[in-house]
Amino acid sequence: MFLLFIILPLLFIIGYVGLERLVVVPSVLSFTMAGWLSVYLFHFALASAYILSYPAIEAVSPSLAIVLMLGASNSQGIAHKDLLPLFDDETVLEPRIKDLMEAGLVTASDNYFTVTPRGMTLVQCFILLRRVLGLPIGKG
Amino acid sequence: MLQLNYMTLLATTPVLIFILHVAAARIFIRLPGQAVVIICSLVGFVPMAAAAWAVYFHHTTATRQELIWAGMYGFIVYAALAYSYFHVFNMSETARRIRILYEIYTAKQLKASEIASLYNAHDMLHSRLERLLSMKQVKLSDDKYLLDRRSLYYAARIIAWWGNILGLPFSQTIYDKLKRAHAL
Repeated sequence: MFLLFIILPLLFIIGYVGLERLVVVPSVLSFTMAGWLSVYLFHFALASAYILSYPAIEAVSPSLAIVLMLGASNSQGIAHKDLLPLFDDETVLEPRIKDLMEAGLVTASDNYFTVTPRGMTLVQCFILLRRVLGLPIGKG
Repeated sequence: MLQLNYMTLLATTPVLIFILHVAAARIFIRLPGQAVVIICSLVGFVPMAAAAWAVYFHHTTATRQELIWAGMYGFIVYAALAYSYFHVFNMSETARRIRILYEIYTAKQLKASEIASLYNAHDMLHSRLERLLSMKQVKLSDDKYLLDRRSLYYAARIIAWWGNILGLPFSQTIYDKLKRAHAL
């Protein structure tokens, strides 16, 4: 997704401007360098918002599922004991471990999971962010 | 050059919100983390608008219509970058994958059963209900959870609709189980 929405458009702009300067392609879009930058910044901002919203759909946010459920129950509400059996490890935990493995952030060997160097970089960034903000590690 | 300064200023939006957040996180200790970021994003708009006036709008010779477009452009870029910052912070606060990654990282290595003993579905549900209560998105009445403010509910409806368009429906997951269990 990062490649598709962030890198490819940037490469397209660089390529187009390069070919335009070399007079290989006709100058259809008469933007200045600042104009191109403003186009890319606009695209980057919207693409970032889209990319960062995507996990809520892909991984099915339990918080969103809870509020949808409560909304559908109208004014009756739902008791804690009725919610609990619906959130089991098989539904909310195991798919996320699988996601981490597929993303190359975690590897499994002899039934043990370990964090890959890429995963370490990511988790260290979040640890640093929480430290700078003076907050404890998120509860998940 | 003026346009470039305006772009550079707008690109610093996440940095501005982060600086405000560093201070606000220490002041508003009792507020939910997400609420603090939302406040910082709203407050941050004021210095950003003032700086935009100083570096671009005050000096430019653009027409009134061009100024309106430039203002709308700046507002959209600021809002999108602020929204992105909110999500990055939210990942550190609520993401299951980050929490699992953190547990494995601190323990060096873990079995699946050990991960479940440190962070399981029960903990996950508990922390979410706690957050939803503190954000006043849900309320507890006679031992039953009910919707309180409806902003997250409407966001969830949009996301469910969006997922359906992308062919990633909620139906195969938790929501489907919830629907079946309660015949909604």
